[in-house]
Amino acid sequence: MTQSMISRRDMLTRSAAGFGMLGLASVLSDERRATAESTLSSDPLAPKAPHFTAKAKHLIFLFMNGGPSHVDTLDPKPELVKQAGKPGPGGNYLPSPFKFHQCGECGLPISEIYPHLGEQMDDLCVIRSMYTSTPNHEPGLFMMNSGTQQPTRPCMGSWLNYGLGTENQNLPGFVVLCPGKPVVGPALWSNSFLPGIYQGTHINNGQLDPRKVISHINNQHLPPTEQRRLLDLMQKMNQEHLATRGADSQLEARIGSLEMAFRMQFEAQDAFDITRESEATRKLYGPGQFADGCLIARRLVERGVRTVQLFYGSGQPWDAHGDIKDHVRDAKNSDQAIAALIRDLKSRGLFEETLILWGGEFGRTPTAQGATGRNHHATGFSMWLAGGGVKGGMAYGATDELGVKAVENRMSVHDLHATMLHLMGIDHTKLTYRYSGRDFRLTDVYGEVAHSILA
Amino acid sequence: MMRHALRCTAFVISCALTNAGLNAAEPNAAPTAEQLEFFEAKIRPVLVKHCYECHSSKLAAPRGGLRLDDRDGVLKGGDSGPIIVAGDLKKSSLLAALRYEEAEMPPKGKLPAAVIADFERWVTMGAPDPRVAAIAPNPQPSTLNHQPSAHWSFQKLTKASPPNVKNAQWPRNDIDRFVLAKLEEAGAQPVAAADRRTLIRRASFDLIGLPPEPEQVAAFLNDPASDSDAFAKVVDELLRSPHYGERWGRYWLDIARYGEDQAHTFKARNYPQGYLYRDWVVKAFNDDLPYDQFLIEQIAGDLVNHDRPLHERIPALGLFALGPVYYQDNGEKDKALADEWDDRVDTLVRGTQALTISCARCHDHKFDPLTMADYYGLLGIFASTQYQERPAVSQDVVLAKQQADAAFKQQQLEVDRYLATQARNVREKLIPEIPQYVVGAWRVMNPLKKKANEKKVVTDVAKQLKLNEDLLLRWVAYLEEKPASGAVKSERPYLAGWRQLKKQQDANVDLSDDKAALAEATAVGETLRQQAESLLPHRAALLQHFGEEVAFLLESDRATIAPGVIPLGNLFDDVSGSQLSTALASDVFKSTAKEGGLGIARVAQGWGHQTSIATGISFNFKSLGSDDAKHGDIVNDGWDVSGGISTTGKRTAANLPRTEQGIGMHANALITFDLDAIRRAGLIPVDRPLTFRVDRAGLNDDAFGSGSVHLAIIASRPQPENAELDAILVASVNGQAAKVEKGDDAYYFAGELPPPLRGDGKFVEITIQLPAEARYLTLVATGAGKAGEENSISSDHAVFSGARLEYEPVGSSGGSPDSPAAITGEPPALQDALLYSELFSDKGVLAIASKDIANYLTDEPAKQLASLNKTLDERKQASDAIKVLMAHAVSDGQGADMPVYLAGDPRKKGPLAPRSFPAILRNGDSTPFKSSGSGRLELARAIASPDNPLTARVFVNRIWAGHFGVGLVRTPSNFGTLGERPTHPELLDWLAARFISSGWSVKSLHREIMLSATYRLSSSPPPSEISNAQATDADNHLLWRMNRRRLEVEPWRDSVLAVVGNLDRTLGGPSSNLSNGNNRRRTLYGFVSRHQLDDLLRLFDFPDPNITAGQRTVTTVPLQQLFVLNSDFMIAQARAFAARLTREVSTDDLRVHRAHALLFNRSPSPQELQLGLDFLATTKSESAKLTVLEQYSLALLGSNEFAFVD
Repeated sequence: MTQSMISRRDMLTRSAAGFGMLGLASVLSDERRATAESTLSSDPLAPKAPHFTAKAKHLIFLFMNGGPSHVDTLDPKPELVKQAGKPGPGGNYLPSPFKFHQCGECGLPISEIYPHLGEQMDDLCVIRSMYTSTPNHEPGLFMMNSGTQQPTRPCMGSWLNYGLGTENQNLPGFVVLCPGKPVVGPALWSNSFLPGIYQGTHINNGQLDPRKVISHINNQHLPPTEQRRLLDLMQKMNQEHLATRGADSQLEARIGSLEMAFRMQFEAQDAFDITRESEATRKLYGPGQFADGCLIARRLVERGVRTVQLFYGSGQPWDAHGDIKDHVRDAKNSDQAIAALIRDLKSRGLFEETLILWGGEFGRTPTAQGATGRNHHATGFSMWLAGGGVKGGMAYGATDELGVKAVENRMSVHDLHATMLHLMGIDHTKLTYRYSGRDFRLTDVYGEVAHSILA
Repeated sequence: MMRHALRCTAFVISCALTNAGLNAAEPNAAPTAEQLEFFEAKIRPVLVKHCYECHSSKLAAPRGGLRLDDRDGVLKGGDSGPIIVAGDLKKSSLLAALRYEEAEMPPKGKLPAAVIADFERWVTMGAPDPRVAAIAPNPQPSTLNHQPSAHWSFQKLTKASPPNVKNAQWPRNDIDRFVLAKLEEAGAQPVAAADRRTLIRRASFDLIGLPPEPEQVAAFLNDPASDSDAFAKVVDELLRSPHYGERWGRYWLDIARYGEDQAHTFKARNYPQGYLYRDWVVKAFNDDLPYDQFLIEQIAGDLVNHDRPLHERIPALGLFALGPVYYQDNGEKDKALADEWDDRVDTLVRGTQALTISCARCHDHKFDPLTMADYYGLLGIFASTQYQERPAVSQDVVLAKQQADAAFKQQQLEVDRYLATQARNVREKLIPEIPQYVVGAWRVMNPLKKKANEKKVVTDVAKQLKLNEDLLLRWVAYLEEKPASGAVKSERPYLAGWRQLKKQQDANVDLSDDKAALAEATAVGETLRQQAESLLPHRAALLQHFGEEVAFLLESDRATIAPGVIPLGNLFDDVSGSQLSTALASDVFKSTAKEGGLGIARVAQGWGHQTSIATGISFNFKSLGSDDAKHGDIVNDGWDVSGGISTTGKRTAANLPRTEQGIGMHANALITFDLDAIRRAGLIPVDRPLTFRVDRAGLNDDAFGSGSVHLAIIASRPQPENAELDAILVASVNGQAAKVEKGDDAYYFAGELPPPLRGDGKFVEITIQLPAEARYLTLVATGAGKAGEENSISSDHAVFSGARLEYEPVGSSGGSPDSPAAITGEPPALQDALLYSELFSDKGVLAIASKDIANYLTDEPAKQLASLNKTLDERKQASDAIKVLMAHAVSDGQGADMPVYLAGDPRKKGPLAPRSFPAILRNGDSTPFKSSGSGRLELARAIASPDNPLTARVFVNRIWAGHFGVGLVRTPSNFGTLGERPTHPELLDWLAARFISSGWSVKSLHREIMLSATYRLSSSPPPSEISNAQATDADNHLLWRMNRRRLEVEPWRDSVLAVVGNLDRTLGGPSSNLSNGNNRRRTLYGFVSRHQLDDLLRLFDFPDPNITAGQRTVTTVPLQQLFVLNSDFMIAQARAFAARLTREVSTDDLRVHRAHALLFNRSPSPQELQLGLDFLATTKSESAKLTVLEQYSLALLGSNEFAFVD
């Protein structure tokens, strides 16, 4: 027994040495390499060196699906009051029903619906000049997640995992949290033409049972010691099989991967078990699915997961066509948790190495839909970044006086992606994958890094 | 000829002149590949994005006379002179402008410094620019900066003969000679052959994706025939297996990006019969359908003449029909369509030609000889092809089904007709019961009783007096004099006696048992009865006039008719004719409004009649009524949906799954109703003011995607002199009152119009009071394009939902009608007409609904009905028994060439690209396709041609890869310049040539490959036997050994089920859900979702079905092993396997042997036997839910040996 344990450890060590050396080279992979990888296999999720020193090691994308209104959250427009009721694009101008308060030392304004987040204002870098290609949910969601409007490209989490690997082999490197499913669904965390391992693993934080969050994570039939015994038997046969065939990296990889799976069972269940958090921490985040999601995001980042994307809710809750005051509900359900996430990351020294991104697929019209609602809006909206490598307490770019169009330091989705990749240590023009005779990028042929927001 | 020559000369001269400036600084050298790549990566995208908008040859007048979309334009400069001086950064005004030093360009914002630096570098290089006639002004053969003939894969197949080899003993066929020659050249030798056990396992996994049965292994091992003969038998048997097609069809389905739904959520088109295509592919492989035929049928199976019946080829069209369809809505449509066509082109060309032609979507291919004209020439073929579901059964079956359906519908009509006739008869028969109903209603309305459960009271009273409950309720409502819909007041004159009664009786006392009160109520009923009877002669006259065809329509198609309401949609014609009676009761969609039809004065249908309802809604009186000019008919359009105006919402931004009653019109249509004619027909008393109402007016369907509409209502009357324009009495636009002014020969709307209505789910309500003098009522749907636009028809399918005239049914003046008689005999007195309608109309108080009428029939009529119903049931069954399976297929639309989309942007249309196939693949032939249809057939023939240099090579390579894990070309979907070169080019060509000469027989190809010595090589040579020459070729490019391969997810899961004895080997049929633990079918039959790919498939490297995949990646991650160790599926199979072992053999020793035989086709080694025996000798713990044998089974099923093939 002891002997087999040693040999297993020995084998793992060898595997790690053999597989972990892809580094930057594999970031610059091409079709030929893909062929070689497919026959020789390796550990494509092993951590890889970035192009340059990364400001952030992890990404948490807080996705406000449905599209939050910028003029009611981060981009106050007093002019709307003067123009109230007058015709504008798509309807009559509707002033925000919410007051804005200047917060923090920076004095940046934020809507009253975000009292907790307001206290963290000095940490936020608010982008007020976002624009995207289309004011429709599905293409907008694809664009924000994969840089194109159709379901034909890998999403950003997949690109990150492909480029950087992940630090903890006992957990998936790219975790997507959503209670239920956002509109479009799994295609938003699709690997597309990248190898399947770069796909996001969806966790339903609406039903948080650590034994069920990851498919097949829990063995319900054998106690751990007995499962270990079964695995030992399997591995002895695998070793026997290997011995008669000489070195074969594919066979070795699978042997190693079985061991990782065994450990993942326990580590993953632990990672998703928020009951292990202290009462004080639970209280900091507050109640609710989104708060649980934020807490899990921190636990995952803490354990070395590369990318966590947290969708605010099932469907498209932020889609306030009927009444913009619905934002009160959605802000209330997320405000405390987001502020808590920032504080918690700070207290654990993780804030500086984690990039937080907040926003939806687009904004909402400064004009009214019906009496009190707002429609989809693509030509100008807000997002914010915080944490690793971004300047806090600043606003970048601006929309016009009425919030219709981004006019200053305009930031396309590609620019956002380029900047995000830059913060993660990746030159967006060099993170490519050769497929169908072309080197594909998350940013297609576009994208400019917004250098002035970098700390 | 002369003129042509002159023009050429002039051109040359001008080129020379414009190049002069450049020559001074830089020798006029052709750009290097590196320079071109720099241009493509750094310069062209910026020019396209920031400059073309103002500086393009596509503009009539480019700003400043400067064109930046081709090289000539850049070199020539603009009105103010040259913009670049090659190699001289200071004198190049382009750079100054970019730096915002002189002119500030682009005006929208200064470009980043890095971009400006790129331009500086570019100018320093001499501004290399490949854009020389990149987009030819006229269709031309590919004119290109590439050297098309140089690359190997565009060459004709070489006629290589197998080379001589030193070791003449080794080759078993010619393949081996090609392989061995290369090996010998490298100083290497092939390793030893695999043993028979390994070989049969390899062959079985290769051809059918399942392990051999122990008995098959034993037979092969014991076959005394020579190795060659014995193995040939094995191969032939496997090729005959119906499971062969399941294995190899799946390879093709990867390429065909087979999926049964869409990635997106909203309005996604799914493919529930998608499996018909999958089954077609499987069968094609099983039948060894020649590969050229295989391709032709998938591309153009509906167009080709063929012995095989059409319906057997229709499912093949799923290759394109099952493609992804992207989200389309306002503003997205062009992009989405372009993306869809790109998918079709990419799938086809990468799949069959291994060329990445999609690169030529935005610019000419940078590395391969493929132009934008080539790409859009192909795209046009798909733009000219439409999705259509077509029968996958023979025409006989379709006809039989149609006949059975028609027979059923006919019988349904018979039954309805019979019931309606009987219902009408019953109405008369109920007249004697009127007093009873009045008494019944009186009882129900007795206040004290009403306080209790009203429904129960009604039921009790109905039972007591033997009355129909529905009718009784109607009598109650009738006697309560609730106003009819839209009516203002409701006192019926002939209910004076009733009102008197109610006034006399104390409302607070229950008089149900008061005899005097009862007698009074009965007397009121008796009076009504007499009045009703007096109407019978008039009724008889009506029936005589209109005949028995009155309203014999399916009940579901009928509009509600209430007293005082005339639904205008009903005045449309229908199939039964144009009689008043029909109009009264019907509201059939797809019916037509014709001029001169009942109550209809004028109709005009959009296209070509814009003068009368032009942009901005000016109109002339001819549109309205007083004119005899002929126009087209208006079809009350159902968009192919029966039962109402289309509100399926399929094309609208707003999802409107609603069916409407009313009037549906195309854009730019109008209909004028003649109110006099309607009055004269007896539908409206002449003394009644009319109200025109529409519940919802707006756009229901919006086929143009960005449509908007104005809906105008105009009431008018003719002038005494016909020469004058009609007088406009009232007008409204989009529900708002509008002012009309008179021009010389037309009217127009004055002042600001309300904004147009859009297909966004918002509608307006319309209410217009019509003056008594109004003679014509005109409903107009316009296009609302901007003035001056070429086609102002920008919308489709306006609806006036619930359009109707309303009037107060009870006269205010009490005067008698003075309209001419509409029907024979004297017109009824007004009050009588009203009573008549309230008694006898469909909602009248005597009208038992047809569905209830059976209860009132006895004797002969009852028998008659039973007999009719019996026939109806039989016909229903007969129709249901005939299944017409519809395949997702395509058909030819109108053939049309596509414009090149400049920089791939659908908004920027360049010259037309004639539909064609790249000349480089057609021996240089660049003739466009002449087809009046899509050109698919010509495309199919160009691909499935023995002269095509790629088709056979690409496919032969795919088959090779299926046997060896990698192809002779290791980028199987890219044979272009950036793909890998073949390791054995002569062998590839030899195989391709053999393939073609064998009649494209795929099975012969397998046989040829598998019977080679190369295929039989061992994958596991002992390290001691590996020579240096071999070791230096670790990737086995030289084929000195067989490659070990991990099983793909399908054969792996199928094999688990097979060895356990659980595999359901049924072929074909609808897909099933793999996540269902009881699913025991082959993995091929699992539902393939683009939206949410099955967990198991996703985990184990199944390719994304949104895009074509020529090769699977192989990844090894812990999540896969979690499935192996913990999934319900694996646990269930381990249990089943243990049960099988227990059932079949009795000792642990035998069980270990049996397990190895079933799983690995071999005996256990002594160590393995001991390992197994030791494990089985242990005991499980209390909490373990698996026995040790089950645990042992799981360990074996999850082992490496079972997941890999040697």
